[in-house]
Amino acid sequence: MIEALAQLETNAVSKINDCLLVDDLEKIRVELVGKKGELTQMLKNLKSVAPELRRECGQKANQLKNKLMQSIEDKKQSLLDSVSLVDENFDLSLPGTSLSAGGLHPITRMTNDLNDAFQSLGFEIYEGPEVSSELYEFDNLNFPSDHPARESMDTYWLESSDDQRICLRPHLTGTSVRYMQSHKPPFRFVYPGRVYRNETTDPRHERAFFQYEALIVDESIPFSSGQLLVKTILDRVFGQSVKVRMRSGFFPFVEPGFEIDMQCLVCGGDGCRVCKQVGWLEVMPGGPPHPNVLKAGGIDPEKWTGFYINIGLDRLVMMRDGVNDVRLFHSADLRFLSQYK
Amino acid sequence: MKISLEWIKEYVNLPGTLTSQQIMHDLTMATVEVEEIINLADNMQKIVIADVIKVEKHPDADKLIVAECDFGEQTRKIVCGGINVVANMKVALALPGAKVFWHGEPGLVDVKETTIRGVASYGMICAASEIGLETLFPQKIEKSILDLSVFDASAGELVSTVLSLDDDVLDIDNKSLTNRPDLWGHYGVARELAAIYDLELKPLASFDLSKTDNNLSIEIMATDLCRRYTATRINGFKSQQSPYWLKNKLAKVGQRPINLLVDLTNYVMFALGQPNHAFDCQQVNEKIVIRKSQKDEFITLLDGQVLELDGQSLVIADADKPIALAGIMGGNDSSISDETQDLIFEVANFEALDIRKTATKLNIRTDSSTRFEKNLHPQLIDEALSLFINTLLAIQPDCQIVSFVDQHHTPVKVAELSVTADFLYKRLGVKIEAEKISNYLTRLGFAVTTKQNSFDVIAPYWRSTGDISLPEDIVEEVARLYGYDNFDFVAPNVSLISAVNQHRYRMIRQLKEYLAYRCGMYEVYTYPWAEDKGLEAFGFKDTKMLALTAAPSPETKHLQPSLLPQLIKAVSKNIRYFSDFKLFEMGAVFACHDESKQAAKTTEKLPEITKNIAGAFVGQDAKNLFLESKGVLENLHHLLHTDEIEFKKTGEMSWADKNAQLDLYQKDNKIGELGLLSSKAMRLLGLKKTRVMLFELSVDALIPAFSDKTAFNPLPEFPEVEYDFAVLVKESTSWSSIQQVVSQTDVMIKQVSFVDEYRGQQIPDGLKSIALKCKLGIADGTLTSEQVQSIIDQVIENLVKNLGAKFREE
Repeated sequence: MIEALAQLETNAVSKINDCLLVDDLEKIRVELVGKKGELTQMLKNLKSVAPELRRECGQKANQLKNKLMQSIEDKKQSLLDSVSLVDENFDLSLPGTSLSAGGLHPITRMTNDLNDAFQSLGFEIYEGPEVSSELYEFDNLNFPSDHPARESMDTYWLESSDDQRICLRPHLTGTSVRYMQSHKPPFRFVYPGRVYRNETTDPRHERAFFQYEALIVDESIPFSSGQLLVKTILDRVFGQSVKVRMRSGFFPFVEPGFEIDMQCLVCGGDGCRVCKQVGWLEVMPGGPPHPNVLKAGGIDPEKWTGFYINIGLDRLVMMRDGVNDVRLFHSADLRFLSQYK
Repeated sequence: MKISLEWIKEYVNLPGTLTSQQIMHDLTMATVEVEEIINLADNMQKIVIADVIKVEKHPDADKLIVAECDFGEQTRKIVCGGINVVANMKVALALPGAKVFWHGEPGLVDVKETTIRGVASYGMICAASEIGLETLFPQKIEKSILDLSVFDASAGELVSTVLSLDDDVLDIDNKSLTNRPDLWGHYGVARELAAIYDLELKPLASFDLSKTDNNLSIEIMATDLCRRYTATRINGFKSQQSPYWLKNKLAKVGQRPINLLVDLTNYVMFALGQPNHAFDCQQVNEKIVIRKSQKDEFITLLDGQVLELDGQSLVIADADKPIALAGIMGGNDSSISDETQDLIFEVANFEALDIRKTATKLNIRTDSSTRFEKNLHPQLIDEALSLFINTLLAIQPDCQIVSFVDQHHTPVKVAELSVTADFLYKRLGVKIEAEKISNYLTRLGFAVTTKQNSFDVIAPYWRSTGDISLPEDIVEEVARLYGYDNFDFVAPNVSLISAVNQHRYRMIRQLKEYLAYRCGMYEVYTYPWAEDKGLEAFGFKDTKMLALTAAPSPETKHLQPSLLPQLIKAVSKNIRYFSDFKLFEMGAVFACHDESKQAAKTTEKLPEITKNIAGAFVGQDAKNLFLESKGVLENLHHLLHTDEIEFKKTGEMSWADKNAQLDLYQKDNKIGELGLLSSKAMRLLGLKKTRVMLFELSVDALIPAFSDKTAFNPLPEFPEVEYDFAVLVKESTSWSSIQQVVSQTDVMIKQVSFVDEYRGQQIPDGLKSIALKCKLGIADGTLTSEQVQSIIDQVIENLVKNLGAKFREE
């Protein structure tokens, strides 16, 4: 009997271990400990065992029964735990479900980047009207009365019966005087927006384009500080240290005027097609406000100085992202815009 | 403007170590933008002088010849189509590997050794246009080969060397020269370089006219417009071609040589920036009068155009007629010709603004008007006179300077300024020694008196016509010569201002981000000038709108009163490539201002400008699009922290489907519209099949909260019960009426939400089944199932009573 039990245990354990299906496990259970199971039979047959061994055999058989039932239960749990919830050939290479796609215009993204940069330097954001007057767009900005930009070949004038002509603003600078007139220095602010010029369009020229202008006014702003300001902003936008230089330029609203160049990021200054072999790219004009502009803003040019920078956003995005045609920005073409998710 | 460095070197000795690239860089940094350096010799590497030894007919082609050419190292045969090639002629031979312009080809092409109709040809005998020299050697007949026989040159020499073409020519951006009248000639640029590099500028030889008689009648009637006028009578001139050195100079700056007299006037202009003119004495009747033109006067200009003058343009006239448009262009009748022997040479100074006005009005721009417009100083005339006469006499010593008259009624003072040292240091951000400052300014031609704490400066005459007028201008002069590269990056010393917290810009940014990143819409920018077609579709046909005087096209004359016409245009463009998409745009819309108020010259009256945001939802299923777009607006306030948007049906929108439009309200203010593009609008816009939901609302009307507006609700202490059921109602019954009835039934109903809408087999015609979910609860306990059932029974009773609802048998 003892040997028979040992034999049964060995067989049963290996059967349970080898079993792969919960249903088969149930069959094994019935075969062993069911009403007519092998072990049940042996327990029933205890009577035929010699009485001195009966007690020991009975104990062992019952222990074995409990052990086997526990093994079956454990095995069952382990089989159930390892059941996969998906198909055997579940295709992990399928693409993920696409989100409801949308995105901000690249110009807005650049504006946001610049706003973040300037706001972190304590600049305020300001906004001026897109339709403005000759007074604000030219007279206040020290443009001579015969300046070519005042002509309709350059500026989009609007039909009006008034003496004071109105136009789609040709630059942002007029807005700075509006701010100056309503604020007391010192101050620093930015005023992004869209401007308009009567131009023939091509991959490098648009009728409507975006600028980003900043003005800082304080008691002492030497132009070497303006240079630092420009560098700080460009470093932030491009995420790397950008070399910046200032050189002579002429704009009516600044004195002295500068052209501000950044070193070409494509060739690192060695000269390439992007920078026309010069190594530098013109990114913005700038300089201290002309005394006449400060005066128009109600600010004493003897006491206050400042620095303007005016960034062409379209050019900056084209440079950063490699966009090859400025007209794409107003194309509303989703094949272009959907690249900016 | 083109500046030849070889020409510059006649005025200033540039050190041999100074490269053209360095000059380009230094001028760009300190003065004006040099766009590129052009050297004609660069593309003439393998183009050499060849002696034609023998010319034979091509055995197999009537129009070709075979020329045997000696080019120094070898003698080879070259097949050529030139009709003028003869033995003993010196020609320009492009050897294999040379680059030439070839008829019809856009760029340069390589010359190759080749066989033409059975005859081997070693290179190409060139016409002037084939090697870029047509300005220097105008070609009368296309097939005529450039004849270089007059040049003293040996076979094999580079043509570019023989013709002195190896010269770096700077191409300067004219725009950067606007404020520098003194830089419109070579002498001025030489003077600038001499200042930058601290070199000596060679003085120009003068010619003494003081003893010449003044037997010429000159009368200036408009002394404000003609500040100075000089006329010099020169007799005994013989018409001739210019010497090669003069042709060469002019060609390199892009001016075609014509004859000696014309070339000399151009030479003086390109050398000094002073325009001038020569009249044929024979054609000038009695005297010269500088006056305003009279109405109905005519003049035929040098370029052949006949002008009818008004009473405003300044002209040079003789006793009876205008003979030149002052400072802009000479007249044809009085102009010099090959027969001219006695001439009157005019050098004058005209007021800049008036020249500009006239040139703009007549739409005539010349090298002369461009220079006068920059405001030249009358003193420049002296240098121009001397240069012209000295050069002419060097070429034709027999010419006689007969008379000279100088009328100078309106002198221009030189600019005098005083600048404090403190001002300079503050603006520069660097303390530069007084001695250095004085040195920089002196190099630039200023007279400087250094005082204890200031500098008294007198500008040179050539910088005194407006360019230098403020202390800031002196800052710039010092900074330029100090070198912008030498300024350190200095952190500004600014006052601390309170932290920037601008709710409006925070809200605007969040609004865009909400639409893009949460609602899956793409942002677009469109032009603010709307197309007439779109304006009509949106009902603006009879609206008074702002109009451009010179619109990009006749059908885009008006500034948009709404963003929708341009947004729907963006939709139309994308329908070709996409079927379901969503767009939005934020931008300004314009309304005409009140006509009754007239704006004075010194104030401004602007139209009403509003910042709006508009969205378009494009697809096939109008109902889904409607619900989606409404959902976007319903949820807007959560992220933006503004007031909730409410919807009211008024049916006033002309462009929207009559059954699918809602006005958008906040409190009692209408802030915008939401609607399905109507069949009629679609027809007017040429849209088919697709469905478009549109909204537009005023961003200015949205009031941003100062902070996060989310209000916390304590979590329910006791579980709430959810109860789902369906109700049959008439098709015309709205969800909002059902919701109202249910939620007003009992305070224990905390929330009523829509689950779905069903029409189908088991639902009788004219009815629909609405499934809804109620959330029930009380603050101080759990509802028993009996309590829930009694509330629901009451709900059902109310629905039946108020809305005639039915319930489906279970």
